[in-house]
Amino acid sequence: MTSSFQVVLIDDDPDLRKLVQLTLEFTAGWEVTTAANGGEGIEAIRRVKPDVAVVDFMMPEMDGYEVCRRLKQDPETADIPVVFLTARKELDEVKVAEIGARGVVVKPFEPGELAERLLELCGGEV
Amino acid sequence: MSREYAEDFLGEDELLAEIFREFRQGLPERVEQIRASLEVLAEGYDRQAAELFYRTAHTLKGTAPSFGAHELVEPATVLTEVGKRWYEEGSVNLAELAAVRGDLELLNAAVERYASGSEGDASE
Repeated sequence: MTSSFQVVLIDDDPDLRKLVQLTLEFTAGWEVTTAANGGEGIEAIRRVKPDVAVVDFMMPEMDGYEVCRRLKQDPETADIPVVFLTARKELDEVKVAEIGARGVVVKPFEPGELAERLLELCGGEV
Repeated sequence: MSREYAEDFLGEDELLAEIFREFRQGLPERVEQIRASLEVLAEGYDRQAAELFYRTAHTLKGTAPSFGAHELVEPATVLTEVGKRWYEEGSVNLAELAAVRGDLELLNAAVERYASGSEGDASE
């Protein structure tokens, strides 16, 4: 894993944001920018141009699908891999693929295993 | 505590313990949000209250295990399922209220056990 790997994490739960940020920064050495909602997250992604965007699926106002749709419509962010975080096991994998997301990490997850799972989903591009 | 302060003065283990502590300390507020929205719904359907009830329970269900709070998952799941149904149907089944209040008390009891430090230590 490289130390310059950039992640933008969008999740409306502040405790989970802090836990995931700490875990990815300390265990993987990645740089993590966090956002509490879809609007802030899209701004952060446009600014940071991360190697991967980790997006909570169910958020108020703008859900993960909408965040992903907007990112894929914007030529500046269309190529950034999007991985959904979700507690919803029934999340439609076909729809996830259709909308251009790289995959799903189902909550609950072991924070220490998240970096490995993201690497798997991104096909080792990170 | 700001993250900058934490990084300057605390190590990884202490930071993790602080994040766990903040999660633990915030649990009563989450339970109170669910309780308050339930009491609004008991007076009649309110979309905002239904959404808050559903989302708060759903978020807790997803977040708790990452903090070792596994005992919270079952009652949070039950509340999530009820809240989702009420939110999507746009109505509250008043006949379910007593049972839902009981489920909320189960969640509260689980929170109290977790907050007492019996599980979920960051060092585990």
